[in-house]
Amino acid sequence: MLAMSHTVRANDAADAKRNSARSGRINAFVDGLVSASPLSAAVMVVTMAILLSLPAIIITPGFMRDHGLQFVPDDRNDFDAFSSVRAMQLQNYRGTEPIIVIVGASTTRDALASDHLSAALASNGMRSAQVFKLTGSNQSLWDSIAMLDAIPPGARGVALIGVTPGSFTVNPERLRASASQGRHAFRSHTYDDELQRMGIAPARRYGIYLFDNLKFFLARSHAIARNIMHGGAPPYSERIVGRATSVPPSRWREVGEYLSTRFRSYDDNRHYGEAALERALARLTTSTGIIPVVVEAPVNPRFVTEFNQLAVFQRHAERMRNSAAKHGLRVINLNDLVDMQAADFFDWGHLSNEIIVKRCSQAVAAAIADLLSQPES
Amino acid sequence: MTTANPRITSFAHQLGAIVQGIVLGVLLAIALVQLAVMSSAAQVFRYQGY
Repeated sequence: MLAMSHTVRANDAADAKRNSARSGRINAFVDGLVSASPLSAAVMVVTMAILLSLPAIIITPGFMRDHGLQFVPDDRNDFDAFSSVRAMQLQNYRGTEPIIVIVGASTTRDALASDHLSAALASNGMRSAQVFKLTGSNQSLWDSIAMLDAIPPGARGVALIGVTPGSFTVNPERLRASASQGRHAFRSHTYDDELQRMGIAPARRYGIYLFDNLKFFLARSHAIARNIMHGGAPPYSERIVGRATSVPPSRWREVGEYLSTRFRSYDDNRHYGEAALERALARLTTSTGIIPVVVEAPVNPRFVTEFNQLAVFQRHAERMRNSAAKHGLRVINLNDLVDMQAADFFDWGHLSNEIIVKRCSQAVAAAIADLLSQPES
Repeated sequence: MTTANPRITSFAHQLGAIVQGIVLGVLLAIALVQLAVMSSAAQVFRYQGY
């Protein structure tokens, strides 16, 4: 009995010793956790430095080409992200098949669909042509030029350059505002050169991909964090998602009046866009095997009549025809080739009728089939 | 009466300091990124209907 009592007391003492030791370790840990110390400061700086520099090491052009679509898009209508990643994939394209590159603003984006175009080209005997759709919302001619700059020197095929009178209303002030938004995930020397011609200083280059395109990534920092945590990004789309069948009357008037005002500056500003486009076309034809084709994007006939825009659209179409004739280029005016009614659009210039979208793609495919079948020179 | 090994206690204290540094480092990095986002006024271009 006495021996047993001794054993119990010894066990209690051992337990107390262990508890005391554990408590001492916990107290020391908590003390280290809440007290300022050189060690914690050093670890903080190192951790911060690692976390801030790690993205610059991981996010490279190669990473963006391979994983960009699962990583950066903010939503299904983040066309700057989609077109940037596709442009970077195009930069790396080394295939021998002809390519179709589509650039332009939202009216071109919603009028030409890659799948319809591929199917139409296949029916014209061009089964292997690859489509790179690099269109975007409110993509300026200068943005389009940056996208065209992604075409590798050895590539052959056709570049469809979507334009509207609005493409030629951009002046240096508007271009400066657009350039400051950091809408591309890549840098283009041609784009930077064109900015400088307009008296705009391009964003600084650091020689590190992430920092060279920092604004693009900062704008998507929340989306990137969300995409990483969810294990995926909003799926790729090449046409607007989530639109209503037609805009309400108040919005129709608001956008119509805004565009009418903007189109009034066509004659004052068109020389900026025309000169930039001319230089871009010359670059394409001299440095690649790509044949540029100007595509006049659709416009709602109701917008043209209701807001008295017929004169500017006619003047613009004529200028495009004359310019193309001068440089031996082809112009495809979708408004002439495809019968479009007001009901086919959901607003002033964006098609909602899938049958018309298909017809637009077919019309373009038919118009460029002979260019694609030309043998490689 | 404390019978903890001084070496282990010291290690626990250092571990606490390291954890504190990591947590603060993460928070500081997030704050700096957030500051950069706000100061650059960077935002995704939204479709405006034209």
